Amino acid sequence: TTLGAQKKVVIKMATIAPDGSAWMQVFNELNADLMAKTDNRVSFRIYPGGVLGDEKDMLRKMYIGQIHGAALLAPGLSTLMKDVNVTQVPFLFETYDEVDYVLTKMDVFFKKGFEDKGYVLMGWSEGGFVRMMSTVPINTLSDLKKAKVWTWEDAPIAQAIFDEANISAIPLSIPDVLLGLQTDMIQVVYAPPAGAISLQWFVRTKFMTDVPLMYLAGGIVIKREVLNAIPKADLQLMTESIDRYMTKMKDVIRKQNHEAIAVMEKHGVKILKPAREEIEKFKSLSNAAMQRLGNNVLSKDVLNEVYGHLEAYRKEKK
Amino acid sequence: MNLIVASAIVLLLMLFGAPIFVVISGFTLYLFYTSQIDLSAVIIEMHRMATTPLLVAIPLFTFAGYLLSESKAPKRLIRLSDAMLGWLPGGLSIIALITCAIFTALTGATGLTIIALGGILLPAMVRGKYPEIFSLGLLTTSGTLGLLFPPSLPLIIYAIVAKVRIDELFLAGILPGILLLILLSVFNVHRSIRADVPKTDFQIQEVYNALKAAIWELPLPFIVLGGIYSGYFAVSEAAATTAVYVLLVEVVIYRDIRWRELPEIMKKSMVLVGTILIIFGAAMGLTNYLIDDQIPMKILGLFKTHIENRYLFLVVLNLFLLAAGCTMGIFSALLVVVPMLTPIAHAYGIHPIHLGIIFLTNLEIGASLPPLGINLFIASIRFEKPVLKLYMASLPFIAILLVALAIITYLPWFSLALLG
Amino acid sequence: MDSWDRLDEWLGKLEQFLLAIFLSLMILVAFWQIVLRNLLATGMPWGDTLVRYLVVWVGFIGAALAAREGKHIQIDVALQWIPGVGSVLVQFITKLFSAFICGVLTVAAYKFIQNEALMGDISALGCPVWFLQLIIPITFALMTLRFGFKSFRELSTIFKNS
Ligand code: NA
Ligand code: NA
Repeated sequence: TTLGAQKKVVIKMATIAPDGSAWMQVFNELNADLMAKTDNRVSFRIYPGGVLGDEKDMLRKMYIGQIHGAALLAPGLSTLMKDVNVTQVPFLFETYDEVDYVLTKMDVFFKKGFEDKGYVLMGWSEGGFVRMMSTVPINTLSDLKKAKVWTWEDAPIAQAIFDEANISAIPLSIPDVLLGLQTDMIQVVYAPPAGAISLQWFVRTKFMTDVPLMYLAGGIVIKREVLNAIPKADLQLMTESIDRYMTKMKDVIRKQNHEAIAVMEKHGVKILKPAREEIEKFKSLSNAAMQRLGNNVLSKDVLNEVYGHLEAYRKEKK
Repeated sequence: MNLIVASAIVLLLMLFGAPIFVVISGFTLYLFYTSQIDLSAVIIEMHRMATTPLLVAIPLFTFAGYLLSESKAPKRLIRLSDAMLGWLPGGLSIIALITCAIFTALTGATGLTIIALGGILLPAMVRGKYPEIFSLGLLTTSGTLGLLFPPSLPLIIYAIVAKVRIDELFLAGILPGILLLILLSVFNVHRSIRADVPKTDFQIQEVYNALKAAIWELPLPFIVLGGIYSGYFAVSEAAATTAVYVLLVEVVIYRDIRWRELPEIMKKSMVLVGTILIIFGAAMGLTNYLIDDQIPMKILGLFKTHIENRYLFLVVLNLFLLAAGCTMGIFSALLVVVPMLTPIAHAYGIHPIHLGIIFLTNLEIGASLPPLGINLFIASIRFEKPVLKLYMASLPFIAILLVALAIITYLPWFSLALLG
Repeated sequence: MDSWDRLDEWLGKLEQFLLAIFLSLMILVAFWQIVLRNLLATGMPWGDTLVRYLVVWVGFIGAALAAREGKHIQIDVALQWIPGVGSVLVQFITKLFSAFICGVLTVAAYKFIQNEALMGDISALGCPVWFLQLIIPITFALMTLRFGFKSFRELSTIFKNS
């Protein structure tokens, strides 16, 4: 029969999540589930910990077909579909519920964007809410303006904010950040709490400003042509598995980010809670910066659509 | 079968003088071709390697090193060290050892130490009547011991990849580093006495004169070291500062080098940089294939099924890491092997910090280990000596380093004592 | 052959000139970054990108020039044991092999550039990223030519001697 002769499909995936991390544990469960359901006809082979390079390199390797898919964060995703940038607008989301609401509303739009480029967005994952960590207390906007702020090169949205605030941020590559903090070359860095733990940044920072600066989305994308080689029935099973475990993955990451703050506190990092009016100052700064952002970073229509959804959600909640 | 034939052809071509980068690239292209992976994967890796942020230090330090070696700086430094330590048997060799260690700790790249300091120290040692083969071995192998001292980049990378505390790892490296330093110094003094290296009488006036002559070059280690520790420079910036300072001192102040000689020195140093970077790039391509085909994981699978005893595991681990350091180089080996080995080592009950020190000691020895250790090739081109001669020169030093490795591996106390 | 020699000599001079320019620029930009960071607590957002690609340019041009000057790192342990014509023949083969591999790398690099252009990233310097990477296929093509002509030269020595 044709059934016995069917070729096994191995989907090669890359991620920067380290082997043994909570993310990888859930992904391994997902893989085991998929293999059991499809009788080993479909499986993932994952290259964790960035062994195949950073997200740009993963995209390159996906392009030439060395790997078939990747788990990417917003900067990588937006290379394939630029409007993903909208999720990175600072102070856009305030809660996970808002994130989930908007991403559900926009799901069809984003999926189509990836589909147009020949990729399938299998599901959303996340890095989480990004927070500022610093060696000097940052309670107010003027605190920030006085400090030496790190920036990642090639981050157009962050750059717009710094331009608007008239902050000359100091660009350093990730491996230099730790030494930079240790030696006071930079005083302010930003990352999701769990990321700050795995990058060891928390060892060198004394304060964390407990305001969600921006949301760092993530997602799993796979090349359309690879999925086309999988029989319909198996593809259906795969989609179900992914849907189920992506939800679990999100829960795990949210729990991890939550616990990471406690870990930092235990290590003597002081948690700062800026006053409401200071947060408003940050927000209006961000709004002004986003107005000046070029259409090549993200389209205004999409940004306005997201604002619309958020407004509707916030009204409904009241 | 085809793989064996391809390996044999490649090995033969290498022994008959095909450039190393051509040989590695050719083998990698063949592997990708047979796995039906687009050949531009090799270029992606070369590009990835060449744009690594920390790599900026290499051309800058190389240029500074070339400038220093083309100037009269070696003469002045030798005169000074001779004045200060000439009365001690093997004084200069110990100075060479310590300078190389400091330089490597600062730059994180052992090859850089050979390029930047080798050109000064080799002529100095030969002039100081040290046997050439001894001097070559010393300068090829010994700089690596700086990897164990903070703020060495491999230490930082290990801490990040293996998720251990960086400050603890910094502390853990100090005693093993001192152990290496002492063993090598004893060996140096022993050899110097045997080779009857001439000693000089200590004269305070000569010390003063030598100090005065070298006054502009003396701040150099403090500029690099102080700059990094005080936070004024990142490593790449320390390299830029060094280049600017050396240019200023040798071209403007001492005028050892004329302006119109600069383009030629720039060319010479950058040709060297090109030959090194392209080998790094090719090796990165090969590593990428190995990862893609899960070769390291398969090897480790064998580990797990066949080894029960912890001490046996450590022996095999050392052999494996020496081979990894020798073939892949320190940085790729760290990135590739650490994430896979740490869980296994944990299962054998090895302390994660101790494991880090074992890792770095192995990789640093591997980088000077025949037949493929990168330091041997860098030294070969820097000193313009055949690779075979460097194999012979480095062997006694490798033997000493291996003794130290055994001590560090089986006596965790050295790595863990300072942690409290 | 003669016209190649003239062209190659001219190219060699151009490469030396570019190496000097790029290295000087690298030192200047990297040093200026330090001044900005420490004295003015600021930085050039495009500075690191420029310096990184200057390393790429210097590295690949250096490698191309090394092919002209025969400076690439090699082990020729076995070569010393082969006498006369045999040694020339072996050198012909290794150089032809080098030309072939560099040729394949040129094609691969060209494909790499095509894909980068399709990806369409714009660098922090304002130009497309593929433009900054163009040096890779160019220098590999140059290395192909240099190894190719060198192997041809070994071949003609064999015919002259026999
Ligand atoms: Na370095
Ligand atoms: Na650094």
